[in-house]
Amino acid sequence: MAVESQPRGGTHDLGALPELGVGVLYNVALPGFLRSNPAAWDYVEVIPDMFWRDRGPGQEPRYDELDTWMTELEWIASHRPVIAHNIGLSLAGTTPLDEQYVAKLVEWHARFDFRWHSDHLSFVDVASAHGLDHNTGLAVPMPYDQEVLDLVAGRIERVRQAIPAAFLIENNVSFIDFPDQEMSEPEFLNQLAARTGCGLLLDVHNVYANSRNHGFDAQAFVDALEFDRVIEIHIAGGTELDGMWLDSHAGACPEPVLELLDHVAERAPNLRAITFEFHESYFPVLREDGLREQLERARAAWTRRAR
Amino acid sequence: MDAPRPVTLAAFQRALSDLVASPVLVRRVWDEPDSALAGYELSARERARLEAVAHQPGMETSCALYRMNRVTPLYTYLRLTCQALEGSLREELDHFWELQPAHAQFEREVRHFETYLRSRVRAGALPALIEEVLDLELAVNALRDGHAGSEPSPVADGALSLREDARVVRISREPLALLSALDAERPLDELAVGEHYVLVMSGDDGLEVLPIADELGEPLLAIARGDGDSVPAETVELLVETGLVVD
Repeated sequence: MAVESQPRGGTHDLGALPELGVGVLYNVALPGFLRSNPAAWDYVEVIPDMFWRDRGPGQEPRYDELDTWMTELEWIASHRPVIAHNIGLSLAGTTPLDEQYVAKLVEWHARFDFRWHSDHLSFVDVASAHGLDHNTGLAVPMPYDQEVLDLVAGRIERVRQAIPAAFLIENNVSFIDFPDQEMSEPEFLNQLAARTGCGLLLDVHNVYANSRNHGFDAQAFVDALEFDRVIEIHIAGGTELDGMWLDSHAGACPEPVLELLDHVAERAPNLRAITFEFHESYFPVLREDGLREQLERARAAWTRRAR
Repeated sequence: MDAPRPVTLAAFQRALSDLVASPVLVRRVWDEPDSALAGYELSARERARLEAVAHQPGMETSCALYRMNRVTPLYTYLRLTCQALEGSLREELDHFWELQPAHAQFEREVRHFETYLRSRVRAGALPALIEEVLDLELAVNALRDGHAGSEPSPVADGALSLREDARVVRISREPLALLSALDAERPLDELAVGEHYVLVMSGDDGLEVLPIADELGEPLLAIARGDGDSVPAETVELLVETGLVVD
């Protein structure tokens, strides 16, 4: 099924995106695994910000690329497709879009031929009382209101004008619940996708975490989404802290997350990728066998996906 | 409820991120919401939302995650310095976080904490030993992977300099005893005070951290600081011969 969109920056047919398969979000524990287990992964997702040192707005050069990390990225990109998972666009933020950052993503897009880009439905930059922008230290969610939808849509359109690629928005994990919101999260995501032409990066672990923490039905949540907008799925493990389930990327996926993965994969006709995320500090626990097992489980869902 | 005005959205985000960054502000919103939120230009709905989320268990979780995110770069690159702060670590972190907003890049967070600690030592609020451990750790970082490390002092053209892959640090405690106490989290005030020097050098077998004699440490430190002219000529000759100093 072709889902086409007409943002100002051009048309990206989400349904025409390449079928990537099963991949993993890059971290420093992975180089050995990627080389010794080539059959386990089809692509790698990278957070570009991890590969450079940001010297700050206005500095020239602003970004120092890190040699050892770049060697790995170049090796990966020469062997398999790479997709960009950004963390600095602050899509729900009110501070001006960081144009230098966007320009760096444009440059990297040309260098590494990212199959698509994504970022999160939250803000990470905020203006202080004195007007200086700074990082929030945590991805902060916003209420699902029309005003916020207008804000996020405008920023996505600006990003899409700059980067000639499909763009996906990732659903939040949120530990707080704003009262009196104008839309549910699925309604917000559906409207955002329809308006901007972006796809969805559905993090089913985030859905699971929110459903546990806020007491809703995770399957009903995903069923309220437009499945044909789901291009990529994130799966991960988590941990509990004082009764709250955290998206700590702590090793293996809980079974309910894998059940959600199966449920969505069987219904999302434009699914192009399933990405396993884990934090490198959990690799000694997960080990190569455990990582292979998670990717095999993802591949089973991929094999049964809707087409 | 009134519709939120666009101008207030930025204030709402500032208030929300301030809450996430400050359990103290969260408690103020519990106790005295009017004064706690007085500095933010908010619509009635935004204000009601902030008061509501401040009471939710998830706000406590958000505050904890904010602090975990901020302490991670410091423990990653300045673990010994954090340990050297002993019982004052938490208070110093709170003070630092109050003064210095977060930065997404680990290196920038480490740099900001370095600047903060040096200013606290200069003000007499922290002992000089903290700056010495900091210097040692930054030297190790510089030569281990280049992240969050100390830069060599600028040296005039033609002046003596330390070789690029070496750093020298002065420490007022016996270095091995200090490292052992930090590792075992033993009190540092039990260590005898003296004058010691450590040479940090990267070689074929990895990083070496070597206690060195005063006679070697003093001139090396002077040269590293760009003050090679104060070192006697015969000492310079010897140091150049060892390869530690570049003429």
